[in-house]
Amino acid sequence: MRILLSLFLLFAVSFSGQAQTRHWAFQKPVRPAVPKVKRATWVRNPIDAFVLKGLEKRALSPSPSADKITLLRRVTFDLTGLPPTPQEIASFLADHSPNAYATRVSQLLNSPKYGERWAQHWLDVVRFAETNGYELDAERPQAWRYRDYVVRAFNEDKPYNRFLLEQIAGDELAEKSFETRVATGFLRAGARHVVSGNQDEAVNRQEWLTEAVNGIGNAVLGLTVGCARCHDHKYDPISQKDYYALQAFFSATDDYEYKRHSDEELQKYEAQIKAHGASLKPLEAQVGAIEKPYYERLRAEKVSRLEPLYKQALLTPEKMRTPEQRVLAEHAGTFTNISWDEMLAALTPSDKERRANLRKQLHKQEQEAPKPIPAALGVSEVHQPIPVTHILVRGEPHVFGATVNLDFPTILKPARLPHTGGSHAVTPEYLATLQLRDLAQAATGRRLALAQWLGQADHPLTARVMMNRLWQTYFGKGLVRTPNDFGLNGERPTHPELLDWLATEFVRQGWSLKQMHKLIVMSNSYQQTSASDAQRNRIDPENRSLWRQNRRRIDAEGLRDSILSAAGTLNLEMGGESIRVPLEPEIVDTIFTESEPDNLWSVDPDPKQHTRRSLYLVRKRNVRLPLLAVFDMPDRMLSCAARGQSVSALQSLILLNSPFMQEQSRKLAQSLLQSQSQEEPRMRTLFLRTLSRPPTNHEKQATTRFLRDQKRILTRRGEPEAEIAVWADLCLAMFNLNDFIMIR
Amino acid sequence: MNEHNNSLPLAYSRRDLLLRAGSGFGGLALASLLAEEADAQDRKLKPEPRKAAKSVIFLYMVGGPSQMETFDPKPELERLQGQPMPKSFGSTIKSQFLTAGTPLLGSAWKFAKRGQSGIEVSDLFPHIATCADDLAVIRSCYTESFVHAPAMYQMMSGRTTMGHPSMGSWVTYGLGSASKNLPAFCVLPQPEGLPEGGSPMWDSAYLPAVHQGTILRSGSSPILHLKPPAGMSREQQRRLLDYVKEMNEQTLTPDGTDLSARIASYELAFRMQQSAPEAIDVRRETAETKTLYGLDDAKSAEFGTRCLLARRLVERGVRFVQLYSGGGPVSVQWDAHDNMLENHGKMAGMTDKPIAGLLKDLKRRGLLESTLVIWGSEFGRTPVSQNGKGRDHNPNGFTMWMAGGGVKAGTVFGATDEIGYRVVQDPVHIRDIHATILHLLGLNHRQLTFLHNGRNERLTDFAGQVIQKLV
Repeated sequence: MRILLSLFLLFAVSFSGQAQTRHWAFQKPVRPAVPKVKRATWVRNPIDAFVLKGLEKRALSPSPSADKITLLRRVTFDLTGLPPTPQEIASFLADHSPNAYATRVSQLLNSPKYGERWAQHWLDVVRFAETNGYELDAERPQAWRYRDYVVRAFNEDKPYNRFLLEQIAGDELAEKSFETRVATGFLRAGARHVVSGNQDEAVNRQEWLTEAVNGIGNAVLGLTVGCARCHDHKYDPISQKDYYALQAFFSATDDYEYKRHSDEELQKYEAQIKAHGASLKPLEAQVGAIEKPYYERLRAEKVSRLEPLYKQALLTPEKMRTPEQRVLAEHAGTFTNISWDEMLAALTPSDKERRANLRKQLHKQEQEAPKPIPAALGVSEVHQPIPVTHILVRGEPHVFGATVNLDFPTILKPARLPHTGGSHAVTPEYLATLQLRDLAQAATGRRLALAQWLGQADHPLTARVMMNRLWQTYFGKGLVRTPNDFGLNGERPTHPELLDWLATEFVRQGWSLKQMHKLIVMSNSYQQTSASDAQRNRIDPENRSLWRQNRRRIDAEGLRDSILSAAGTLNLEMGGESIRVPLEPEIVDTIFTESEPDNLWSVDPDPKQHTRRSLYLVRKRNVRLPLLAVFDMPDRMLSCAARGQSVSALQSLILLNSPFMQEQSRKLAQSLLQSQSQEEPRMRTLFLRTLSRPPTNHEKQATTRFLRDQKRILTRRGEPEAEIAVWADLCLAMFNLNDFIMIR
Repeated sequence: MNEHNNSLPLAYSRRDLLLRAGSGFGGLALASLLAEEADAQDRKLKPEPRKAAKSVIFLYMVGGPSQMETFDPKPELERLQGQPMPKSFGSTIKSQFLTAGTPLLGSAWKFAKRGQSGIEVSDLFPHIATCADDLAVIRSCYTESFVHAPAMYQMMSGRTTMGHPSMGSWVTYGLGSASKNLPAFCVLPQPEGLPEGGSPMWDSAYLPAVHQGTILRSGSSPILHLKPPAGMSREQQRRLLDYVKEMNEQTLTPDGTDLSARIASYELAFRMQQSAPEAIDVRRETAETKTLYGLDDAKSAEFGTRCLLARRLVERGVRFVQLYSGGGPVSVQWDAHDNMLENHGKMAGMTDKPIAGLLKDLKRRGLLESTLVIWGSEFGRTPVSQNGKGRDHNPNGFTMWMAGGGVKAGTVFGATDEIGYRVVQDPVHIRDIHATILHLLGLNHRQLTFLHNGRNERLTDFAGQVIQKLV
């Protein structure tokens, strides 16, 4: 029976082999002709022709353009992650020229906020965080430099293939720099298990390699190559051999920290460190003095309770212990350790308080440690000579199969390699050709070869995958609705020709993302209203043919940033070290430690930093800000290609009751009360700041009634600042409206 | 207002909404969630033809209790006490900290046959021993990592790596919520701190965020931000919510299922503010019940309160409760590296009576049939000693038990070798445990899938078999 089954499977596999190789995503994109459509007047650029063609095929018509104010909110949010300010709304509405929208789009693309916005999408895809994850979740100081690199790359409109080249092989470029080495942080963005005790180096190494290969598979190729680690891919023509051949590009690679300093700077830094260490000493000594008598008493008690055998061993001078006694004494040492919780339990209340205060000062002082010397957390070809790569049977690090040479996945092999135009095997001779052109010292050229292959104009996946990510952000769904799986098990594109046109246009535009952003947001397809229509909804309820725009919920970071922006508290400072904002004590409690938990979350001492954009909040794998987590911010363990859109009561609770919401509502109310003395203009400003539109008549009435009722409730209660409290309630309510959290 | 028709499940799942389709709000929300979860493949769930458990209480003993001190008697180990491990049991034991061969260590407690079933339980658990006939003891569990966190992730999410949905999230995703005003998946941690693995142990990962476990704490605000801030009266908040509702209804569109779901979520939040503090308030339980759970004894009162709370939660329709014994400082974990007697004695003192109380209370209330209680940890401990009187981590063979929820009571399944080191009969991988738990809940582990990054992910990854002899 089993034999029959395997025969059948064998047959099925070979039968489907052809379908696998013919799969659309493995063919290089060919630029299609822009289709002819009936309603040519609707076509603003080729995107519209492709979309309209699809609509006409299904006898559907596109929707009219959204009104100016809806459009402004949409495009401002999509390009910068923030709502438009009342001033921006006013000037846009006042601009009646036919180019008003185009002008605004250019301004938004040139705003540095654009880079911040799009960095967030990329960081999702590469699962970037600033800690290792797992139980210890240790910090990766200066990992933020990679985040800033990504922001700059988007703002400078770095060509996408160059962007990839720097992230994959920034250390191998002839023109390598601190910046390009920071870029290689891409390869170590994933989680890493670091733990004490016995280590299996082979397992650890495989985990590193797996993270690196999966990172590229997900982010750049949009393929689930990781499946082939343990077995030939079930759906896609990627064999286990292909997987390890891809892994071989990284066989010499490992984490490397590039320091950037002069000798003088280093000396200065070391002196600072020493001085800082010394400044802690007096406080440490005071803590020690409090603990000493307790420690001695507790230890003496423990020693006295030891069994005679252990006690005797412990009391015997070290040099005179028998081998057996040495073991016993070591164990006795463990038995008589005094842990911090035992210490805490023994302290008198007053000593406990004194000690706690001293430790608080100590932790504060620790925060003032000198800034570390700039370092790029990148990679290098650390393992020399280059280790041989084996196929691992069932993916098990200790079960070696055949050896493999580095190579591109068979199914994606190009007709020719970059530079040579010749045979497509990645041979030493081929790597040597790279050596001549680009290769830096101490490099192997392996990753450079991989990056150059990925950035080839006719690569079947690179441009398509990225264009699909852009499209998904603008329409809520990608043209391929499985953005990290372009393989056979993924969905087919809704508009295959449009995707190929975008991919080829992207390359034609020199891999300029800004050009492509502009093309998409300038299209009539993008500018359609999201309003539904019963008849068309019946024909295409999922809106696969894009007969309208899709309504979308703002993502977690966008929500927090919009609240700060509306409240007028947003600090737009860019870049630098990540910020720790106040965190709910209940969440601080969830940070794992076996040590004394009195310094788990050191909040940035400057409150102005607490209202920075969410991009700059520290990304700790095991702790997310509840406001962000509940609105589907990913955990950054795995690549996140599309954010969730969940709805839950916990979201409502946090938006109603959290101290952050209270504070921002009050700030917004204060600012409204200061700037406007009359209720009606004040209300109008509030609506513009939160919903980006003025209130309707009905909303005005409802709001007036609410203000009146709230005032009555609060005055009756004897609230001293009823006016501001009433408006703070109104501001809080605005933040909870669907029109605040949705992009229409 | 008819509360039933207006109810909104706390955790949406597609299946839940499919079941509700056509009735009031659920029907509306259906299309929206279908659109939003278009990536998720239909899970093709077939209802099982038998009565299935409705809730799970996972009693998680953080740090790895010893099998040979609890439910897996090893007379041969007693005999070989103090000697090196005989070669016949394999090469020298290497675990996270052990390297050199240390001597074998006999159990710190004696065993006896209990109840009609004659299941052997050690004197460490005199109270649980009285429930032996309700237990299905699995003595042949094994797992892949000897390090706490990866082993915890494997127990809770099926993999040693982080980033996959936890079992509780899968269960609420598969079954939806039966509670109208409590989170479907609740986590009751040790007050001293969390287990080493931390929040990924109850994270929803790539499943929708509603399936994330919610930590419940004692006190007046058991759920994060449940209580309105000081200065916000109930009347004031009600008016605010009415205004939000009125405004949101103004901008509702005919296709606005996502919009109406948000409107309903505010009503649910408002109801939860009343019901959650009530649910966790154990004061009105009778003195007899409190004593049953060990609330009258200082050492077991805290864990007992959480066990009682777990019963109150499942009574109110909560699907999955994770209840942790251990977390925070090493001294409050089952991780007995130094001294079995001291550590396990202390930890059992906190948990033995409450666990027995929970089983008895569920049983007399007729809830045990519909509630699957699981006792276990990330791994067990080595037969050889560490630091003289302690034991290191052992993933090669350890014990878990289940009770209620349709599991075959009064049974022992599987066996380890004569010293309790390795499984020698009926090996049960964590994936098999998961498959069995899902099966008891009426879910097929092969069909409960979620398409993520091109793969149909499931709790049991690529394997897993229901332990047929236990169901």
